[in-house]
Amino acid sequence: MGSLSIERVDRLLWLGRYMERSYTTLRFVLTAYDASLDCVEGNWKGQLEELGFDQETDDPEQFFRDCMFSAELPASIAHSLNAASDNAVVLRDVIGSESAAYVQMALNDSQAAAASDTPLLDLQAVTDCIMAFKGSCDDYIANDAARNIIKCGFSVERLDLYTRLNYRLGDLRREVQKLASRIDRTGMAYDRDALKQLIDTVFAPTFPQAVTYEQLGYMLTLIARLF
Amino acid sequence: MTSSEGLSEPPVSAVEQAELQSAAIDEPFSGAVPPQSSLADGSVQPCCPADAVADMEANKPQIYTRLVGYSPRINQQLARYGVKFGLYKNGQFEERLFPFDAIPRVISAADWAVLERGLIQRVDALNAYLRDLYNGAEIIKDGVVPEHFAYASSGFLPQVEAIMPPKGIYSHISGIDLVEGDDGIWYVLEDNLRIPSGASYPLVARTLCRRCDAQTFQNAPLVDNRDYAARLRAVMDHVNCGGINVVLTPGRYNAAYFEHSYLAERIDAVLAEPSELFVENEVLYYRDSTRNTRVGAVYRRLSDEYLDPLCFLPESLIGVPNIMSAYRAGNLAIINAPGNGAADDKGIYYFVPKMIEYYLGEQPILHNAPTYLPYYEDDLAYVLENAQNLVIKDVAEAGGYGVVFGCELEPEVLADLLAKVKAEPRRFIAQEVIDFKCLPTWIDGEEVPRKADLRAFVLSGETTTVWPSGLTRYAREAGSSVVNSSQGGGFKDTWVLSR
Repeated sequence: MGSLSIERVDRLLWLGRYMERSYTTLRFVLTAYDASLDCVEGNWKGQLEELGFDQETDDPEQFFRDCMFSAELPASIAHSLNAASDNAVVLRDVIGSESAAYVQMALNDSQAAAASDTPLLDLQAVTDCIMAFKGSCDDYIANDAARNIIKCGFSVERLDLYTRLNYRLGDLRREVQKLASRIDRTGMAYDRDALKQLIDTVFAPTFPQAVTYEQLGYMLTLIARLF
Repeated sequence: MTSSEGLSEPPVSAVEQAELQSAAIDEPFSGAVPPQSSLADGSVQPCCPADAVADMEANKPQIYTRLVGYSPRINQQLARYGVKFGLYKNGQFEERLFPFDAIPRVISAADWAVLERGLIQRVDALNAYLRDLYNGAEIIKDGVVPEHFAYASSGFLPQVEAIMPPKGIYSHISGIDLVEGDDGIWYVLEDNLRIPSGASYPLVARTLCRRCDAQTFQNAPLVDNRDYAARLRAVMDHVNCGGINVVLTPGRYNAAYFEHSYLAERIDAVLAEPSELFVENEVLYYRDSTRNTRVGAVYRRLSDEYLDPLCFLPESLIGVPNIMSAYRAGNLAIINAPGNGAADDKGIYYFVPKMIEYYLGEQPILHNAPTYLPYYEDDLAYVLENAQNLVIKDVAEAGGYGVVFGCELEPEVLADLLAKVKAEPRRFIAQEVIDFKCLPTWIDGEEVPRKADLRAFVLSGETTTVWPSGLTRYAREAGSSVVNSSQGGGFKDTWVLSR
């Protein structure tokens, strides 16, 4: 069935964004947690505050636990997975039960990890499910527009997070390329000028070596303008 | 676009098909079966099934034995697919897994043949009644159904009088609730002709069970039940007035949302919320992001009163304004038709056997639970005389409310109730208490008997057919008749044997 209402287009985009947000946040939190083991006296929160983790606590264990499992925190992995699941559930007829199941499993595994003695170890299952979902999109989502919208959601979220965190900027060219190659296959209206400027920025000869914070801020504005 | 590979299985291989053949071959969740096993003295009869207990004691291998230990793993798989039901508790929406027991209800081919004929007969008569009631009401003129019972029903909608739905079908998907009595006789407890739910659960479960133990399914002479989606799709296509098929859901926080989304996927229909639909020039459209698409059939999963704020409840925020004008103009099939509640309430239930005789000229094949209408003098006298042994129901109530067991009341309370029955005889019905069979059920690592009901699904399209399966719900607690999922009840697959 090929019909997609505006509401569903929006949900597809956000399904992709929340899955990517869960994945990247998880990687980031695990990295920050590992680093914190060696610097409990210093800035052990690392860049997590830039991701929105501003909870007041002096207890690193509690802080990282909240980052992962506190669904009330909008930046937490649990919150993102819940939001992804909320979108997937109402898109079952578009994305198929098999793809929807990977989102459900990621959420289930995250909840199981929260209750586990070895939560960080068990979070690997969450990563596995997210990756499985990404792969399942190609095999199970027959609607081209729907598949490309989700993938654009992955890209937009990754661009947003990497830019905001000044993280792996070297990857942004590939991500912008992926976005540019798919965006016209979504059927969505988008800001062509913003995309062009984004391309120009990341393909500038000096990027990312000589990039400034002002340029990164400008990129974030362009990303926000896309849809 | 729907993935065609959802939970579906690859086509059954020729070899497996040959083996099977050579072996001779739907707030559903709010419905509790009344505790029919209560005794006249108020005690609860021990959970009973002579045959089930005997089988257990003999530890006799059953055709399902190899599946029993798989229950936890199948439940894990159900969690993976988000097979849940929702409920509101303390004002908050919660979703819970619907526990599955791998021990199926097994119905013999001979029993099923009777059930199938009886269910088709019953639903054909109910459809005939609805057609008649809203278009001339000959049955009332002929005095078979008293006028009061027909028109006082809260499900009767004057707004749909004289509207003939596409192909004259009112109840396309009927959920008939039955119990098997200890005497081996099946009794119909309730007809659900509005939005019966529950078919998706055994459908998913069968697919998963087949993955657990191929040998069981190769050897057991079972009728395959995995064609429900195809049957449903055929019904929708049959009445479609031109355009796409849509499953209309009130939204994410409906108790049966899983089923809405799953069935939409399986029948290749669009799952739509009311805001995604609109009516223009008496035609219903789906609001696509690039173009508007005409809708020819709507499988609506919201109640009549909320369907169209311009026709029914004006305060409804989950309806589609003017959808009834598209229906009235013959441009849209609504599945099931609005107004079906007139045929499935407690007062009308009594008259279903009479409808069968009136419309079909046949004797009813299935039994109602023995029911008395105090409206009739003879019945009133019987009810007054035997109230202690009867269950008395207020026809104006629903959802398990207004159901009272005479044996559970203090004498003075019972006397008060009977005074009301005498004063307002049309308001009540009374039924004999039925002891219904328990089924072997795997709970906490052991096989125990539990009471269970059966919802059979009858689909009316080009012909009326019965899905050879059904939702069997069982009570969690020993002796309890509450099969309600919100009370911890679970479900089983329903196996129909081909021989």
